Amino acid sequence: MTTAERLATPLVRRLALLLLLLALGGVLVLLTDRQPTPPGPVPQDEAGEPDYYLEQAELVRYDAEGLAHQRLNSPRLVHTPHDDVLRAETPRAELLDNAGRRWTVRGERGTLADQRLTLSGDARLNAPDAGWRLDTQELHLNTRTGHAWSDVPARFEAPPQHVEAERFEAWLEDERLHLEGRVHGHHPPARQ
Amino acid sequence: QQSEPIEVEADRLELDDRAGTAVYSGAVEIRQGNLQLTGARVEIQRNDAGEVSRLTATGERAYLEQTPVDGERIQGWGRTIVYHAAERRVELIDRAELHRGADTFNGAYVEYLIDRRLVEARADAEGTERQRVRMTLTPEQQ
Repeated sequence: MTTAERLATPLVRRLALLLLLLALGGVLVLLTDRQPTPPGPVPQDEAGEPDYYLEQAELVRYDAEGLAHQRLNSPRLVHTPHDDVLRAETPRAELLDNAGRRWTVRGERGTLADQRLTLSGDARLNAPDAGWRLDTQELHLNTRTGHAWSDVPARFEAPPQHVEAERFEAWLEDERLHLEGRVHGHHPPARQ
Repeated sequence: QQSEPIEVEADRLELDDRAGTAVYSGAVEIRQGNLQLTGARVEIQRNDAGEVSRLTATGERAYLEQTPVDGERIQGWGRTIVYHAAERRVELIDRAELHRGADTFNGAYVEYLIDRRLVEARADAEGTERQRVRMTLTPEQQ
């Protein structure tokens, strides 16, 4: 019997088929292992049932010239239809004003509704170009006008000085900041 | 004294990065060690390192007080008081008045060097009408 005849016998063909199946099964196992981790639980929110949610989300807004001038990142964004609010976990936003200055804001939680971003829980407004930052527990930002404010105690820092107050307002485009209510400033003096 | 931080209490602070100004307003009280300055409005000038180089207090009359550990108490009034932090120099401008212990100095302009306790009074100051210099010096008790 020649080698070709031996290979053609039913037994060998069955063995070859079995080996093929095993190999296929192995590949399938490999493939399923590389599936992305299953999405988190469908969020229940006191604002009601969300219609969609995004994970590792980045929202980018473009200005009239098509330049990306506002960016919001969050590991989890949830949208609730009845109030049209986006709720974000640990949001971080970056804004460029008309003069190209960079501003960043962040918080533990955030909501975005009608171009108004509200950050709560260790919220911070950072003005790296101007060299100052502001910490508070609740920060509001109108992303269209660049008006930021807080109605709860805030701490302004422009090292080496810092100032605490009960409320604050900032107009990012005009580079103006206003602190009000039991304002306490701490300023090192110039030395000779 | 000179390196002690300047602490400010006020109702409001307005910062304008573009104009480079920082203005406290509303019952402003400033302390640096034993020096105290009060006014309705105080503008702060900072050097490149962000340290306060000058404070300009204005009010009906701004007020300055210093209670040195070993020396006479200093009190000063003026429509404008300018405190130069690095030089420890004070300028009282317009209806200026300074009391150093029992001595008094009045005029349109009074300058006081804190650490050297030197006083200079003038009848003229920019932006004010002429105001005669008056001094009351109390002889030392024998």
